[in-house]
Amino acid sequence: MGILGDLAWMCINCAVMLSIAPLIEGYVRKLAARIQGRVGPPLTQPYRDLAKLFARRFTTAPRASSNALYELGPVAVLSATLCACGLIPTVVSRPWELSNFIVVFYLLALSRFLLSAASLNVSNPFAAVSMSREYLLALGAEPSAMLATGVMALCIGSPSLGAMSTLSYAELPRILPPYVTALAAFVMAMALDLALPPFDVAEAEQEICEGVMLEYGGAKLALLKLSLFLKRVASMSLFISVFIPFGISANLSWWTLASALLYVAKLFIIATIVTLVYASSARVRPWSLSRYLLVLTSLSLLSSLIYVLEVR
Amino acid sequence: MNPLQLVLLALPIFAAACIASLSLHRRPRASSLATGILCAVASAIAFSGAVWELIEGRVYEVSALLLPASFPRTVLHLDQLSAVFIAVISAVAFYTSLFSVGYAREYFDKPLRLSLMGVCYSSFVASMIMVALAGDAILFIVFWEVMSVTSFFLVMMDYERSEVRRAAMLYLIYATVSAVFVFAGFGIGYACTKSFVFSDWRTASLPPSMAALMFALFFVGFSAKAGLVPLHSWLPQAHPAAPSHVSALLSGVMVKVAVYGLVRMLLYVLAPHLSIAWGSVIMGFAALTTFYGIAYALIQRDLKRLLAYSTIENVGIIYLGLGLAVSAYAAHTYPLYIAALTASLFHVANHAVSKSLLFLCSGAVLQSTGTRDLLEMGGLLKRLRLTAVAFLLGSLGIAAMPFFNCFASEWILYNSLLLSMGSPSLGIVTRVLSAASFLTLATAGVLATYCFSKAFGLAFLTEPRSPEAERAKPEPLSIRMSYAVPMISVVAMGLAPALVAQPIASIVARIPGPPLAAPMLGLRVALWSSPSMYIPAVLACFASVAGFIAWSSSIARTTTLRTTTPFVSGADFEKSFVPTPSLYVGNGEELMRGLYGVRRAYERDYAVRLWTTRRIVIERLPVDPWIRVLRRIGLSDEDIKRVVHTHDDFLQALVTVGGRALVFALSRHVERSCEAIYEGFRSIAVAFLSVGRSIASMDKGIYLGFRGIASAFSALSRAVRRIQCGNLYAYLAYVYVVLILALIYFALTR
Repeated sequence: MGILGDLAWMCINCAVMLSIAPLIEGYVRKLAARIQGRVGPPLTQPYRDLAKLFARRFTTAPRASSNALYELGPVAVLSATLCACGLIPTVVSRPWELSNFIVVFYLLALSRFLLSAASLNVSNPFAAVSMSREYLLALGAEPSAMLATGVMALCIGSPSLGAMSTLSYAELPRILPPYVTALAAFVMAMALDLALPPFDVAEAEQEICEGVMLEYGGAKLALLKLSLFLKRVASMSLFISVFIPFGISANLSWWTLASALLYVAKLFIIATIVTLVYASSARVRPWSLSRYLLVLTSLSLLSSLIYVLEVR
Repeated sequence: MNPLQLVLLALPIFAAACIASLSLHRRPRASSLATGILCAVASAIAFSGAVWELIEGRVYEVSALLLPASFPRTVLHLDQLSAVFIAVISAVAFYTSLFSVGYAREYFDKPLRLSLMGVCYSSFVASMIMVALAGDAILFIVFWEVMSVTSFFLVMMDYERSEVRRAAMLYLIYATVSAVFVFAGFGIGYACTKSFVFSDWRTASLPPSMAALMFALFFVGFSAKAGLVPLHSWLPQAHPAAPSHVSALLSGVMVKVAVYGLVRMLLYVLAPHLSIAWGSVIMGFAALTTFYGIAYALIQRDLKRLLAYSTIENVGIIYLGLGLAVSAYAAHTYPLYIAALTASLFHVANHAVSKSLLFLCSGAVLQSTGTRDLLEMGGLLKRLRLTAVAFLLGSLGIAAMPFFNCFASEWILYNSLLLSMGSPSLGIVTRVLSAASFLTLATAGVLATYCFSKAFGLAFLTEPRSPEAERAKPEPLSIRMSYAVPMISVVAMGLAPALVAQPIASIVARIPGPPLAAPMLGLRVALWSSPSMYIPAVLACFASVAGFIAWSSSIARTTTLRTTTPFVSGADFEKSFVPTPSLYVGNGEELMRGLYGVRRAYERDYAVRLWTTRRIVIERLPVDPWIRVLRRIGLSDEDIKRVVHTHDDFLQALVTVGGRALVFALSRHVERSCEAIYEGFRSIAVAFLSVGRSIASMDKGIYLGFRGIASAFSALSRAVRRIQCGNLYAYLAYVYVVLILALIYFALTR
């Protein structure tokens, strides 16, 4: 078993997220359209988009510093994101040392670093602006989300996401004060991570033409799109497995099917809430984020303080 | 033969390198080749000795030097702690020596200076190794000072430029201050125990008040040398000023020698006296340093300066682990102590490797483009392929990306901080500090990826932004060869961190005294489970398989028929559209404008009638009270502008305003008086020449005599200019005074 078992679990998690990510995307688009009084694309539109992009022959390439990097950049971004996705428990909570939360956050950071290399490779000014905004959001989101997750890890007694997702209702009263503050901090951080309005400053189609992906087309664009969808689902799943893992099955059995349905339902509920905010708000300006970041950071610090004061 | 003898065997070879460098000064190519290869051989020997010691684990202590019996006992001491640092020093020195062979090309037209550089370089490396070997205060001081003086000369190497002179002088002042504090600490140790030997101090019972005083002195002294905020202002100036292979040694290694001193003093000598308060002090400054260093690295345009600021950040990370270890040891939480100190020492090795690699790359860039400014680079990947790959690996390493080296040590540190938050025995202050440090470390992590994506992306990717970058020459062979070792170790230590972390953990358990039980327990606890360190390799397997599948699905459909210019909303692509550093980090600078002391100003632009657009201008804001102080001290506006523009750090300005202003006032006067001396000699020479010329009509012989005298004077004046500003004399005088005082003291006490 050992390493092969670990890899098998990662494959299962990846497969779940890969299959559900475009659907969530379609749902968000559809719901936002309906709220704004449009008909909207069908739910399966993202699958069709990806299939179309994968099938398309692409005959132009931009003048890049390195053609190898242009070819391999999207692949590397996707594989780092997939690696992070594989570590987040979706349908089975396995107390599993591989799924250390710090590794997950840093794998997402790695995919961001690779994305910035891939986008600076073609010297497009929109791409540079877009990446700089991406880092700005990460600067707010990642540290606070990590600290909030760290507080939960301390409450539960393990840094492994697999072990953390065994949290049950019965334990909640014991850890309620740090739980609530950490949850608030994490939700605010997740909002930044999802890259949806009002925080889609890094993509901003109308403004900087989705800068990061601007020079990509065909299958490579499909890979980048896919990793964006995956990143969204990954941060939602991270939230689910750390804060609301209730009902996840402990091992592979018939209950796993129910747990998978429950997981999808949770994703849809989160997506609905996110879309309600999305459809009713305008994009923020990147330089007016400082107050939001301040609140976010102090909330996460507060949660750790509460934990420290409570456990003597 | 034992490990100590093997390490000492390197010394004659370093001496041979000195001699070779001096004797071959007429043939610069041969001189640089001989020095580089001899230094590399010597470093390899020292490295193998250190590794032998790491495996064997015995403590060697021998009385050193053939001194008269009346002289206090001096010893050479090799244990595993020294061996860790000697291994790091000699490994880095090995490939910087190789690099120096190719880099010496810059100095072929100045052969004398090149041979001087060879002498200083080899004695610098040797003295760093000897500092780690010194087992008593006297040898430590001697080699510490040799290290300071030789590194000062190395920083001074390009003395034609005034900013190099200023940087070297600032460095010298800080080095002196640091040495004074360290010496004072040693003095207290001697006063309490009547011995200079560290192992005697360890067994003697020091009074607690004296131990606390020693801690304070050592902390200030070693931190000034390591570049801890607020004693850091010399570092981002001195490290970039030196030739690049020396910068790699200064940033990668010399800073670590100061860390070695602190670890040796705190955990070896003062271990029984450690208190949680000391640990908290260290952690507080360390967290400040971590954030401050990387925040300033982000906005630098000078590539080497950016790397120097990033060194400050990493010193903060190393100190963070050290502070936590001190607290944990004082609270008898030994597993946490082991984990934290392992993280710290592991990060010493990791940072040494990646930072020296990055500095070597910056040297190659500097050599082939002639610039350190990121704005004038761009597109270098096409010209310097191997340097680009090396820089990418170094960036991935230093930004602590998974699968690369620094991630492993930061990961242990994250877990140690979490553990410390959860262990009540540490006290509320340390635990709150741990939470804050966790947040700081995570923020620094994001900023580091931002900063190094900027450095790599804007130097090697995008399109060339200057003609120099377009015409960059490929790097010479020896430079390419020097990348091999650090590139391999960045990846190897990232994929198999346990190979390094576990030996370090077992060493750490033995530093403070009797071995702590179950050394591996510390690491296990820090990772909260059994051998978690195999994770990177497993993940790398998964990522590569996933990547291969994605690649094979996308590659088949690409046939490039036509290349296009970047899309800029339909306009024709121009040179001015290529991304610049300020475009890339402008948003970050804007967000943290309070920290950088910049102001946001709106300019309304009514050129377009229907839509008014607002253009945002970020401008550097002079800090008013500071300027007032500088004026009062008597600096001219010109000098103030220099201070303000070369050192745009707000915090630094506030903290060291007095010291800095004094330094500048001093430097101006010294420089001016030196100028006067130079002018004096020169005018005498000119006078002799003119007199000689008027006499020349009478007698040829007299004229020749006069010309000889005149040329002697002009040589004198050039010598004065070369020694620069009289700093050296001041410094030598100081060393003599210290030596004479020490001798008088010995004479009186005997």
